[in-house]
Order: sequence, then C-alpha cells, then structure tokens
Amino acid sequence: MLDASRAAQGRALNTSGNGLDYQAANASKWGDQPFLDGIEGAARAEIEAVQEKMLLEQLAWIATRSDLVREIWAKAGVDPLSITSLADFKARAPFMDKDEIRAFRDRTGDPFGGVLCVPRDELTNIGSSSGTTGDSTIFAERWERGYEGPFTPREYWMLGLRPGDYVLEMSTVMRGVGHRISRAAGAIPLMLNHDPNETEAAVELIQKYRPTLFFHLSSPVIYGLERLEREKGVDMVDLFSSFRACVYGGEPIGPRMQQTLDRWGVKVFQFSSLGDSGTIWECDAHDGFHAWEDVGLVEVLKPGTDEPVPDGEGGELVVTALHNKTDPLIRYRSGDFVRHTRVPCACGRTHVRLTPLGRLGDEVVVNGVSVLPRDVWTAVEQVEESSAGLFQIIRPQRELTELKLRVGYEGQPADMDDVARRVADEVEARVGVRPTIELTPNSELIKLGPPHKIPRVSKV
Amino acid sequence: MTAALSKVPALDPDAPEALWAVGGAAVADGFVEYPLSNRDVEADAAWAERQLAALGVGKGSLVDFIHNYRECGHFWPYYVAAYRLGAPAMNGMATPWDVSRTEMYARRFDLALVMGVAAETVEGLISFGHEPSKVLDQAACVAARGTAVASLAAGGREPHALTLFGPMILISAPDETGAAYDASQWTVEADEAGRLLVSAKADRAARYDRLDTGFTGRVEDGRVHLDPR
Repeated sequence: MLDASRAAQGRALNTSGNGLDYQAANASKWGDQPFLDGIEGAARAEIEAVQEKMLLEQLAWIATRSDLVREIWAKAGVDPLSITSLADFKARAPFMDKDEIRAFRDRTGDPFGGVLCVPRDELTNIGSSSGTTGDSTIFAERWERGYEGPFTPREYWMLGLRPGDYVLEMSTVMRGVGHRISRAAGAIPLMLNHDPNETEAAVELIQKYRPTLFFHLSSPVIYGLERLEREKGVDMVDLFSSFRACVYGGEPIGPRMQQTLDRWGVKVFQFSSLGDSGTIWECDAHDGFHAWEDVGLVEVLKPGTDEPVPDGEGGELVVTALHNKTDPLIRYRSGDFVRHTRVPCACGRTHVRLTPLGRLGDEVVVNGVSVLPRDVWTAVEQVEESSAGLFQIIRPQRELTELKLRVGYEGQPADMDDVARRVADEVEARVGVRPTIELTPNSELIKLGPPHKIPRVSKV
Repeated sequence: MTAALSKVPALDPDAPEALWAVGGAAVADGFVEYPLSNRDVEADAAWAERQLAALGVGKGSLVDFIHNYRECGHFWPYYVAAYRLGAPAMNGMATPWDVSRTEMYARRFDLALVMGVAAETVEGLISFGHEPSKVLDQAACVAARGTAVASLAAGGREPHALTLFGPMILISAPDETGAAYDASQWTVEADEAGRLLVSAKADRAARYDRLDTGFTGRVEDGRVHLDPR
C-alpha cells in the first residue's frame, strides 16, 4: 500500500533520489505477479475500509497543519476531527478549488497557497504546474518519504516495465524530476527533451537500447516523428516494436493521430491527472483510466453541486489526497469533467476507472451553441495542411458571438485563403458554427505552450 | 551520437557500477550519449557539493536549477548535492516558454542560487515583458550560460559563468580566470589546434577518450580557460 507516513524512518536517499527504505520496499515486490500491489485487485469493501482509515488519519494530520483547509472548514462550520466515516465526509466536508488556493496565496504571500503541512526545511523539491492559466500551482515533495509525487511504480509495472528495462523519457522538468520514478521501478532512463526536434536523437536511442516504455508521446512529438518518417524514411513500425507501452498524455488523441499511431503499431496507454493528487492510467483493457483509490478519494459530482452522479455517468472530478502528507488537497474540485465506473475492470483491477471528457473551463458558447476543443479537433485534422491537429480556440470569455480559431499548418501552402476556407468548412460541418481562421505555422504554434501540449484555449 | 558505454550490469539498480541513466552532451560533432553509473553520480555529487557550498548554498537555502531534460546527467548530481547540503531545489526549463516559472520562483521565494540561466531564458523573460537582470536581482547568486552572461551583466547583474563543457559543468566567478574541474574524474587537454579534449579518467560508464568538446582554449594549473565563442 502507498502510505507516505509509514516510510518516515528512512532519512537517507539513494543515488536516484529515493528513500532507501522505500526503494527496498519496491524491490521486495519485484516478481512474476501481474499487480505490483495486492490492493489493486481488492474487493470494494476492502478498498473502502483502507480509504476510511487513511482519510481519518489525513483529516487528523491536516486539521492543525493546513492553513487553507482550516480556514475553509472553519467557514463551513465543520471540524475535520468531527468526521467519523467516508459517508460522513461526503455529507459534510466543504470543497476547495484552485481559485481558493490562488486567493490565499495572493492574500497571504504564502507561495504554497496554505496547503503545505510540513516545515519548509523538510522539503526536498519544489515543483510546479505549467502555469498555462496563471501563476503556476506549486507542489512540494519530500523525497525521504515514500513516493508523494504524481506517479508511482505501480502504473509502470501495470504497463509492463520491469527492473533492468530501459525507458525512453522524452520529458519535461516541471513537477519534480521524472527519472526518479523510473529508477524506483528499477529501470534505466534514456533522457531527452520533450521536443519534436529531439525525435532524431530518440530514434537513435530506440534503435540502440530497444527500450520497453516510452514516456511520453504527445501531439508535438508525434508531429516530429511524422516529419522524420516523411523526410528520412524511418521505419516507424520497426521503431516502435520494442515498446510494451507508449504513454500518451497532455491532451486527448485526435482521430487522425490515432490512425497514425495504429499504422505504426504503437501500443498507446493514455494517462491524465487525478485532480493534482496523482495520475490515472489506462491498462491493457483500454476501458477507462485507473485511479488508485489508496492515493486519492475519488468523487464524481454534478458540476457546482455536492450530488454524486450515478455509476457510468459524467461529472466533475473531486479528489481528496489520502497518501500525500506534504501538501494534500482535500475535497478538491479539479475542473475536470470525467465519466466514471466502479465496475471491476477486465484486467482484474477493482479501483475506479475514469474517462476524461474535457475541462469545464474549456467550453465556449457561440450564439448559444456549446463548442469544446475535441469538437474542433476532428475538423481541423481533416484538412491536409492542418492535419497535425494543432489549434487554439480564442476564448476571451465563455459566451461569444463569433468562433475564432488559431490553426497550425505545415509546409508552404500556395493559397492560404483556400486553406482557411477548407478548415472553416470542416469546422462548420461538424460543429455547426462557421469560425474565423487565423493560420500560423505549426512550428510557431508549438512555441506557445509547454512542450507536451498546445494550450487548446487562449484568451488572446 | 557515438557509442560511449562501458560494460555495466543491468540489475541491482543501486549497485555502484549499475547504470543510473543515459543523458546527452553537446560536443563538437553535435551530440553524444552521456551514460552515468551510480558511482559516477556519487562522484559528481561530491564535486557538486563543494561547488554549491562555494556559491553560498547551505542548509535552508533555496536553489533553482534551470535545465532541459536531456541535461539531467549534468544537473542531477547538483540536486543530490543540494539535498545533502539541506537546500530544497526547484527547477525549470531553459526554454522561452518556461520563463514564467523562473520568474515566479524568483518573485515568490528568497533564492540563494539560480543556476543555468540560458539565452532562451533571457529571450523569454524579455518577450514576456520582464527585465531579466531585475527578475534575477533578487537571487543571492546567479550562474548563467552562453550569451546570457553578457546580457545579464549589461543589465547590471553580474552572474557566474556556467558552461556545459562536454559531460561536465564548469563554473567561474565574474572576476575569476578559468574554471576548476574534477581532475579525479576527467582529464582535459588542449591539442595543437587549441581544441579542448575530454577523457574519462576514473572508471566511468562514459568511456570518452579525447572527446572533442567543441571548445578551444587552454588548461593551466588545473583550470580550464575557454576562448570566447
């Protein structure tokens, strides 16, 4: 079980930046079993018993330590120590969201937004989000403890990574440093920038080391690989043949990109965020993303309410960190819209599965018509010059009278007006709204965001 | 890339001779793989600890490392060293896009050291409307690379000069001539044309032999003196 508080004795790190006790505990699990941790396939009652115990411990921990939680709960008239069960928590606990963290930070000057629960001198690393929607959110880590970062060795094991394997890491330096988790899993990272211009180096490393895991693919990296295939004739089917899993994240996969990945024989496994308290991952069954329920307590609620939506339906993802004791978020409204089910997966795992449907804040309403980035995506991919699917919706506010799109193109089209017209035709046919198109070279559009994703919505 | 890997056992990931990871190093021919064993990281961390201490990093200091992912082989020993000194580390990338995090860290924290400021950092800060030397003025010490050194100096913030020199990081103070390097791990020599060549001296995973770093200069008194580029 992933419980940070139980690994506190180990005060020293190994060379890879992992606690010695933690690394030893990981290594003791390496064997032939399909699940790294038994709890992955536990019965629902057992999962909930574990959750309840961890939740009550967490509430006792944060009650005197988290300034923001204390403030929010006092305002709601609820004492964290008065919560007696999971059901009681779901009935009475107040919510928090990113705006409240930012407001606390701006009001008090506390860069951690009031959620830090340990003295600053206990921290090892201070990471942050990409900050595409304002000042980055800060995440603190203590590396002497069991893994409190967004990943765990559990999902890497699920994807087929085994000790001694190589991992191609085309990655970013953002929330901590990702190679720690590969090392915790006993694997050897091959480290490159997450950049379409690094794909040639990636091809060399893949051909030499035959890595088994690729972390991670994104639309910009696939754009770079397509260019290599086209211009240098790289055999992508052979290139991807050593991988048991290629992780894709940052944003959804568009239909044309999916066709490309299928043509290359890429075994794609998507991941996404668990409300800033962890990550969620696809397994072999590709039927939703597993959320580890001993990492976070997952609720899926009707947006703006505290009403749970029925199993199988969509709502806002709300997460309470159970494992993280450093800067836990409690009943955090993520702004992510997900479908969920607690029906056991075909892979045998029993934890809740989530299917990301989009960001609540990404929707625009144009003269009463709702438009989401995924609606535009398919249309943009249909036009040859913009088939990489790189675009942004210009969203100065939610309600608009005109849909404006910034669309990336490849090459040097002879007639730009014609390209814009064809993109507009495709969007109108699929979305029902005729957009205004601003064309930008793909290479320029990629520069507007973090390396692993294009911000699909831009204020300007 | 060139093959530069010695024979290392794959398992027992924490064994001293086991491969820790493979990064990349920019050299005269473009780019070489930079493999490091655990033993290499430990040796480099010991060196980095002394360098960070000399830059004023100690218990409770906050350090911001600016580097891209393939440079983890160069920078990771500094993270390990910072931890051993009791200094929490934060990080960002040397790209124009990621400067918002560099700026945010400098604004929200009292930084003892910002290490790795690149030309792209300076370019990005300017494009987002910031004066780079002013942003970084709040940090007690700044180590910048390439043209960022002159850019910051022109703005009144005299940084240390940091150079990714093949597999090594060289750091020299503003008034210092040349930069020290870890002679227990590497041999640096200049050939007749003044090209600076690096060879692995210790039993490192990267078996570089007279690797052309792409720099010219001279080696005197255990210090590397780089010609201006």
